[in-house]
Amino acid sequence: MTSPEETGETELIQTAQQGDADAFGQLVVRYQQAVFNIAYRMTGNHHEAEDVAQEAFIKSYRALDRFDPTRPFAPWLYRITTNTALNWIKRSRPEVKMDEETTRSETTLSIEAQTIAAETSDRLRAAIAKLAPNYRAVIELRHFQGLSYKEMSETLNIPLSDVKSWLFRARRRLREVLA
Amino acid sequence: MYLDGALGATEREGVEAHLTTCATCRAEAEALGDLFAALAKVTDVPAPNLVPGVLAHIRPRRRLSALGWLVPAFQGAAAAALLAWGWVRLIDRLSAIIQTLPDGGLGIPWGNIAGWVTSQWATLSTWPGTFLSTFQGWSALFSTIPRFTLPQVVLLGVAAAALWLIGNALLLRRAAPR
Repeated sequence: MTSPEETGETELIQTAQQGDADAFGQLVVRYQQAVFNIAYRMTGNHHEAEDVAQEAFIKSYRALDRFDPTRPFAPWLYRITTNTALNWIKRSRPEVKMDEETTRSETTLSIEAQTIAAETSDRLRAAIAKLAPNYRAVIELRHFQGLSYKEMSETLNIPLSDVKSWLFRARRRLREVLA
Repeated sequence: MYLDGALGATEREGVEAHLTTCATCRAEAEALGDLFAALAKVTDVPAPNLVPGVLAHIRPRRRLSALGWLVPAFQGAAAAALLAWGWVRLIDRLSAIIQTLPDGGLGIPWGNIAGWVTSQWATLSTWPGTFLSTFQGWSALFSTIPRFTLPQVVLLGVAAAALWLIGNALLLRRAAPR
C-alpha cells in the first residue's frame, strides 16, 4: 500500500514525464537535500557539489522518459547523482586517477575542518573526501544509500569482485585517515 | 561481507564461531563496526535551492515542444509549396522528356504514361485555378509570380534544405541542457 505522499510523487513524475518542468521542479524541492549531500560527500566541495547536484537533476529529467514511475524514484535518482559525481571528478580533475587519492579535497575541507573540528560528521566527510574517487563511490553507495553488492556492481558497471575489493580497501583507508 | 550481512547462514555461523576464538579478527570486526556506526551518524549539510538553476536548464525543452508543432508544420507547408511550384513549372518539360524515352525493349508505353499524367494534371490544376479565381485580384497576383528555370528551382531546393538543417541545428543547440 502506498502512502499519499508516494501517490503524489508518482503523479508528479508522470506529469514531469509529459514535459512539465514545474512538476519536475517540485521533485527537485523534495530531493535536493539528499542529492546535494551525495554530491558533497563525493566531491568534498560545496560549490562543486552544487554544480554536480544540478547536473544530476538535469540528467535525470532528460532520462525521465525511461524511468518506470511504478518503481521507487529516490534510488534511481541517487545512482544518477553518484555516477554524475564520479564523471565530474574525472572531467574536472583529469590528473587524478580513479584509484588514486587526492589532496585537493583535503585543502578545500581544511577550513571547514578547522572551524568545526569537533563535529564528527565534518571529520568523516573530510576523511571520505580524501579517498580515491572510486572508493568514495562505494562508501557512498553502501553506507549512505544502502545498496547491496549486486546493486553497487550494476550502478558502477564493475564486476562484483571489484565491489568487494574496493569496499574493503576504502574502509581500511578510511580507518587509517580517521586514526 | 560478514558485517554487511552479505553472507549466507552457514558462512555467517562459521565467521561467528571464528570470532569467539580469534582476538585479532574480533578487534578488526569491532573497529569496522565502530566505523559503520560513525558513518551512520553523519548528518546532512543544508542544501542550496537548486530549483531555479535546474528549471533554467530544462525549460527550453518545454518551449521547443511548443515550437515543435509549429516548426515542422511550417517546414512541411514550405516544402509542399516548393514542390507544387516546381511541378507546375516542370510538368510540360518533364512530359516532353518522358515521351522521348526509349522503352528499353520492355514495352513500356512512356508516351501513354506521360499523356495520362499530363491530362490528370490538367484536370487537377483547374481546381486551384477555379478556387483562386473566386478571389478578385488573387489570380492577377498569381500571374505576376515569375517563372523559374530548372537550375533556379534546383537551387531553391538546395537552399531550402540548407536553411532547414541550419535552423534545426540552432534550435536544438539552444534547447539542449548544458
